[in-house]
Amino acid sequence: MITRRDALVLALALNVAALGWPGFAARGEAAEPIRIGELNSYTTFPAFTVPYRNGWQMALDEINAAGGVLGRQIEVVSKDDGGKPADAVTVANELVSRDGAVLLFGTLLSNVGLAVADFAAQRKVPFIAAEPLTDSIVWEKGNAYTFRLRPGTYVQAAMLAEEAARLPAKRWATVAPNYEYGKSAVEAFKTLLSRARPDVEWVGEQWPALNKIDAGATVQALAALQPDAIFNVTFGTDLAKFVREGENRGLFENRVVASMLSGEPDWIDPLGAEAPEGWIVTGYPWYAIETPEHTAFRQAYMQRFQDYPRLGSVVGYTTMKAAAQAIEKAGSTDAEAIVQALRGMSMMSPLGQIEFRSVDQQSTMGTFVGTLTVQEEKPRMVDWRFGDGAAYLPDAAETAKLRASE
Amino acid sequence: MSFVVVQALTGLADAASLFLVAVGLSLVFGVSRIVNFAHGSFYMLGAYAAYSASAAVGGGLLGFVAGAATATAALAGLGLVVEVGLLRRLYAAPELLQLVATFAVVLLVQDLALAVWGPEDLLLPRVPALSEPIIVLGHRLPLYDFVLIALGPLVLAGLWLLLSRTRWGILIRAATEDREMVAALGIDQRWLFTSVFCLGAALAGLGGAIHLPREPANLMMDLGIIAEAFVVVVVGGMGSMAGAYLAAVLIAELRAFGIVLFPEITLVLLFAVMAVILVVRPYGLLGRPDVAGPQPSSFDPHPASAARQGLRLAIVAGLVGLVAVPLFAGGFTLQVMSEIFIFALFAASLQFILGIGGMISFGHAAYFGLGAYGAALAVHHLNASMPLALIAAPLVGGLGALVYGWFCVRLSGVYMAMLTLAFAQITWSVAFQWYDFTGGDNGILGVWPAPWAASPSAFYYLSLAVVTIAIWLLRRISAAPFGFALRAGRDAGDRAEALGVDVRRQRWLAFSVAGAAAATGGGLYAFLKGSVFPDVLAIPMSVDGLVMVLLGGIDRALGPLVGAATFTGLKITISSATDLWRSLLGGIIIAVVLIFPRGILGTVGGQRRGGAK
Amino acid sequence: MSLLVVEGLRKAFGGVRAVDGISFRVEAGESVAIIGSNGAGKTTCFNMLCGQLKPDAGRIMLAGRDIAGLSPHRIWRRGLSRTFQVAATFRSMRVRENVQLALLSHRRRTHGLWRPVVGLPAAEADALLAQVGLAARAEQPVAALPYADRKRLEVAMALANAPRLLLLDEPTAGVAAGERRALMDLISDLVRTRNIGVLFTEHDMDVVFGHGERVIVLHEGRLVAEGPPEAIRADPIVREIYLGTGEQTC
Repeated sequence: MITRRDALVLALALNVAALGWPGFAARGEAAEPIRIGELNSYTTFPAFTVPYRNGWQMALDEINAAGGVLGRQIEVVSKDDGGKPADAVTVANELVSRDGAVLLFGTLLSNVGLAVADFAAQRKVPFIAAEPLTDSIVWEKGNAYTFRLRPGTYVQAAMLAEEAARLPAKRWATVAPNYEYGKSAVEAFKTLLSRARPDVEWVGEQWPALNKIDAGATVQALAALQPDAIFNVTFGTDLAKFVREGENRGLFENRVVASMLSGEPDWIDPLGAEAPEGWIVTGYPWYAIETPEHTAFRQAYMQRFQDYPRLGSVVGYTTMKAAAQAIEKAGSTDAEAIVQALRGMSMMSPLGQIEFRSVDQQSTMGTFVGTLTVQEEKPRMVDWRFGDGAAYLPDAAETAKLRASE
Repeated sequence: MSFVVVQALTGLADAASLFLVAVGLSLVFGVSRIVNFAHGSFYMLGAYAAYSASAAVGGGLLGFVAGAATATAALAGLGLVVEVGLLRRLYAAPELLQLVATFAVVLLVQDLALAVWGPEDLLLPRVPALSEPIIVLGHRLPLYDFVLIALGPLVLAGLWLLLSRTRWGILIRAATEDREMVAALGIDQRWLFTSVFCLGAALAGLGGAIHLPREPANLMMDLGIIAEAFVVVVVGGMGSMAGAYLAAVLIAELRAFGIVLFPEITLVLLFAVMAVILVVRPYGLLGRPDVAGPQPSSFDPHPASAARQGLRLAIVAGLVGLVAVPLFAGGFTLQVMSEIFIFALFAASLQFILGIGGMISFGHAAYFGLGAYGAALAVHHLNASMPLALIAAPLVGGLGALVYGWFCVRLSGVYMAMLTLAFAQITWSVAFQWYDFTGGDNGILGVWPAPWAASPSAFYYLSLAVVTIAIWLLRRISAAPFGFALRAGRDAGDRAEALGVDVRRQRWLAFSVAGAAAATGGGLYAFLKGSVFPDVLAIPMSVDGLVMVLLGGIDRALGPLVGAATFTGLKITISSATDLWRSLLGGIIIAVVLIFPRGILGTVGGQRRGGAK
Repeated sequence: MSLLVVEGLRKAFGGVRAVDGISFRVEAGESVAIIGSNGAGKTTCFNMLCGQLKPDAGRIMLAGRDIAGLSPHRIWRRGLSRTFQVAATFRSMRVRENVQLALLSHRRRTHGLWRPVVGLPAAEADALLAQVGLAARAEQPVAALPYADRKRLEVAMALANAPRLLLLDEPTAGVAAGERRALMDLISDLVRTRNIGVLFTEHDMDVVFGHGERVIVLHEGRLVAEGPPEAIRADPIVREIYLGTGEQTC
């Protein structure tokens, strides 16, 4: 039954809850810094988000040391999104409603990115999705307020398909985690490779559950298909297990593997000396990129953090720079002005000049494709080349069709 | 043919660490009735400990063996700490509260592992002696697979000897079969509970260690294995070691061949098989009915009496207070409070079946999620208006509960809980993989409130109104003959049956009502968040609901509200303030559980009732 | 037509014949005791009569209709009510609410979602409570009742559907010797005034011979003797297999 005391305790709890969020506190005006909201899966995926955080923090300090933007300093309010889309929406809401963020950036998981993108459209706040790979964030489900920096699934698959088309291999098998990213990657790769090489035969598919690969069984199932080559989309612990069992069972002997993201230090470095040699991968050979802009970035990063940069670091750094440049270009913190500024904005990144295409608000940041090898016990990409995103993204007309729903 | 043999051998090898984890879970459950969510954390710590010990010794085969030994010993020690420091203080509390405590341990261990071992996956360097290839029918298999294949039966045999040939083991078996008897024999149960918990933790640690050559130690191992371990325990039969082995092999083989035969539905397959087994053999393959586990006991002497005049006044005053909140609170506060209301309804619906119905659900998120998806799909596919979508939500969730409930209410205790979990996981898998209809992992976007409800204060009033009415209806039903008959079935099922009450049907209808109520909250949740993703159906959501109910007090009318306000409020506040929110939240939950073993309201009240069961 | 006719009732558990072809009758207004040592088949027999166990074979005719194999709640609706060996009451409710629930069930109103129980057949419930002498305790939680009173409460609950036949499983078990007589007298009175048939098991021979108008003796699953108390007391077979070891103590 309900007692007076229960009611009292409840009232207390709700009051504490209400007081916990002094949402009515007015935020100051002119002298205050410009607030930008940032959210990412810091507790759920620390291995990928911590280097990313280092990246944007370094950029932030550079910006503020140079006097900020519009004569004001930038303050980033950074929060953990808990790795869940629903929680991320709460966090985004807090950043916008309570902390007065004029722009949001961040997110790693595709679904978290999509949820925040949708929130951004609803609340009319500019949002730069830093790391999500899903292309629907800029295409099918794209919206006017959402921009994305990192090259998505399609571009990565397209670069691998281009390399794969040069190989003699005809019988291809695929292995990908069973969710949207895996499905999209396989679909894009198959379409593009079949287009380039109509003689290619698809002999089978494996769809291990994300983070739950039964590596031995999967490897044997793949071997039983007797493919000439394998397209791999697994990553993280799934990749480590797949590689180890594949080596144990000789799956990779006399077979080529084309693999998404496996050249990114974020994913491949845990494998150390056991990184699979000879795989064709997309990735980030931070140790070998010697353009002036990248060398400067790498030196600054290593000096500051006593650690080498991951791809996440580049993404974090560039996203922060993009946000600042957009506000500067907009000349105000007005959301519509920032969005206008970002559309078609071109800027310098550690990986060279990039542009946020106005047709889909996707940046033209590219990525690297090369062959994996092991040098001094460490995974390294060799024979790599840089592919500019602009060259691989669908052209404006095709993109407009993809974005038809907008 | 040779492929089938090799695939079967691989499945057998996969079963080893699953068995080690599950058998420990099963033993602990059998003796102390603790549903230990932290068992997966022990497994993860075992892998990390083995990694560090192996590295310290210099790797190689010696390093691996030393690592495994260290992990086993270290986890036995940790088990001791957790049992003596935490769980022992909770045996007298209502069953299931221990579950909340172990959930807090999960949170603590996650931060601990991150702090000690860092964020990156730690791959044990290849141990050449273990990778030695063995040729079987022309296929190459690593030697280590054969080590694992042998290990399962060896551990099973060792445990069997331990339990049948030692006095301690005989006591453990006796306690599994009849706790009262052992208590009556004057045996110190505390020591028995502690030792079996240590054994379970040590087995989990060993399970993590032996998995290390195949998977890097990583921060997702804990939650990765716990659901599967539960499946194994339940399919095998609670408290049955041979059953655990059988089930581990069954499930590992199912996956080994499932990926060949049905590569795209491996997620559903596991839980579908568990559901079928539970429907056909309600107590698992080798289980026995008498080990069905905790029945939530609730001693509310007169819960259904209408609130007295003064209290009604207090409630009305409270509501008026809540109505006034938008006058001074900002948008974010209002949306957080809307979320709290929604979770309060979710928790209240769970409390309805748990407290009054005596049914445990580990899968209540299914109905909350079905409501959320029902509303979102109505908007997305049918262009439904917001009110229509909000009406669709309880219909979809209620229908789901009607279907699932029909099977679930045939079981009781933990078996019922696991069947609800299985159905929730099946629903989750469908939402996760049916890309064309549900959007898969990318969810359904653009489920925003209609313009009239779009402002934070309008949505606040909407959720306050819907939730108040729904909770009031639930209370009303509890106080009506339906609720009494339901409680009668919980208090004394045979007695109720012998008074003409069709207990099973009563429970079934109650389950459906609760499902519809949870789904109502789910519908609101979809509009609050503007989108729906499969994680509204996932295990953590169900656990959150349980934590809220138990935190607030399982038998207090306002318990769900207090639990939801405390848990959601804390989580949002803390996670916004610090990256260490998991340990902070875990620590607070442990403190609350230790200080308020009957829930916050249950204890503050001090209405002491007859001794613990 | 007899109120209860049991014919050739059988039940085996894994080869053990717990009840092995029992036949007997109970007339309306008659009080029949079943006795037998532990394992004689009394409980199994009882559980089949109330539907908790399905018979392997045999008929159970209640007022001319076969109830064998029906579920307990269906059998109750046919007019067979029972009490349990260990008094089973709803411990989370008040005394009156226990009886109210039984009355509501009788009227098929346990699916009512709206009107609170508080006001529903309260007067009738109080009347039943008065008949078992618990009127003063109506407001108390059941958990606060002494055990003997819980037995009384169970009787009140069992009477709520105006049963034709009442099954009492050791009605005085656990009740202090001094209170047994009062309890049994109460039951006898109620039965007489309502013309109910009663079938009860009991260990206390004073109760058996004092209140049973007829006694049925089971042994190893079979009915070995049947008759008025005096005859049973004198029956040599019964004396040998059951009373031979001296008067059964409780």
